[in-house]
Amino acid sequence: MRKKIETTSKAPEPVREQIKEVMNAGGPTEDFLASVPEQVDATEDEKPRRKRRTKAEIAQAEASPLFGDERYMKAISNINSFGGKKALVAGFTLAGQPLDQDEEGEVDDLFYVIARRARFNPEASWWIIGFYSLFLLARLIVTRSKEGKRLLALLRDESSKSKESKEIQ
Amino acid sequence: MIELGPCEITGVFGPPASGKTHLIQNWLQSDFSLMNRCVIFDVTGEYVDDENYNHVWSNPRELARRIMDNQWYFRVAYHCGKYVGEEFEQIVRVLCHFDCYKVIVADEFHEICPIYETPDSVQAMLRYARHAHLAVIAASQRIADVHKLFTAGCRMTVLFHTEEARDLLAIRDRWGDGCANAVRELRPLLYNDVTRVTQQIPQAIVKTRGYTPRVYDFESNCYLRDVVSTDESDIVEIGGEDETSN
Repeated sequence: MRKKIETTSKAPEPVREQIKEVMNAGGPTEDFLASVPEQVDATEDEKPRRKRRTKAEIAQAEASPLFGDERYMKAISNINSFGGKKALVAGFTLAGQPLDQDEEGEVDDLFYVIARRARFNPEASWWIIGFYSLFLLARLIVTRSKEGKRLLALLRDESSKSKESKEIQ
Repeated sequence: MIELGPCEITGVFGPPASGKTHLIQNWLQSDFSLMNRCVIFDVTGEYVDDENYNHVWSNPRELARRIMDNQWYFRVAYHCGKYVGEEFEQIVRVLCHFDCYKVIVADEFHEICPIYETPDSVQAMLRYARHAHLAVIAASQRIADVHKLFTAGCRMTVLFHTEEARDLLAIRDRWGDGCANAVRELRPLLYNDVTRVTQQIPQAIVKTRGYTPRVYDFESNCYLRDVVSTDESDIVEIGGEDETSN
């Protein structure tokens, strides 16, 4: 039988602070008591996490159901450049120098690139759609007003004159 | 009775119904002074009805308050809830905060210190427990199921009879063939769980660091013999004159 040990009533040496720190048990007793939980919960690792989505699921969630609608896509592409392409093409037409198909395509591409670079996404904001609605309304009103019609007629006349002069030359 | 060290890590291993819990209860009821400052981490509810202990139900702060009241005498059975590992971590934190010498007793230690996923907090406890004046008494059904840091840190290991190949292999790797064979040849506990009658009192191997393993008989309450090593590597040749040389 081994001799019994620890029969002294002498107070033990305190546990070193470094050891308490390693064991996450340091600090004044009141502070420590406050840090000890009354109810133990799972650690972050064990907490049930939301299942991670696959790439296909993310793409499916991000894709708008309207992307299957051809008419919608065409309308959005028109709004994309905020009517810039139409205005430019119309301008050249009124000036008597209508653009050919290739040139129209280039202008369309240019405005598409501008819209993409500027992250101009009409789908993303009702503000853009609202602003575009006002812009469209204003354009239609102007083109149908007396002043507007007169301006268009003037442009047409000038363009026809320039054509005739070209033909004579 | 097998005597405990002053502030040490002690491991008890044996299959179900081998005598582990009985041995631990004997230690808890002994007059060993460390047992006046003990927390039993009760995973299985073994101590729920025991009137010898204050009971704390899954509330580490309550345990801290109890110890604060009198850190020189506390006998607490802490009944943990669902998150065994997290609660054990908090209990160890609480115990390490106080300067007194104390002991934590944990049955089914493989739940807390499994071989592959032992939390950092448990590893820190096994490394620095003695510096925090914390003794650990832990039992598990299989020595092969617990982390090596625990088995390596044990100053005393008690092995009950087992025939499980992996456990015998683990014992052989640590203490040699002789010890593994001795464990297999130990007298096992024969206990009827229904009638609660013990039909055969077991033996155990006690391996204390620095000593050869010894066979302890719980019937006679004494050590019977040392375990003789049968390893060839352990046999030391004694130099002398060769008789055939002359």
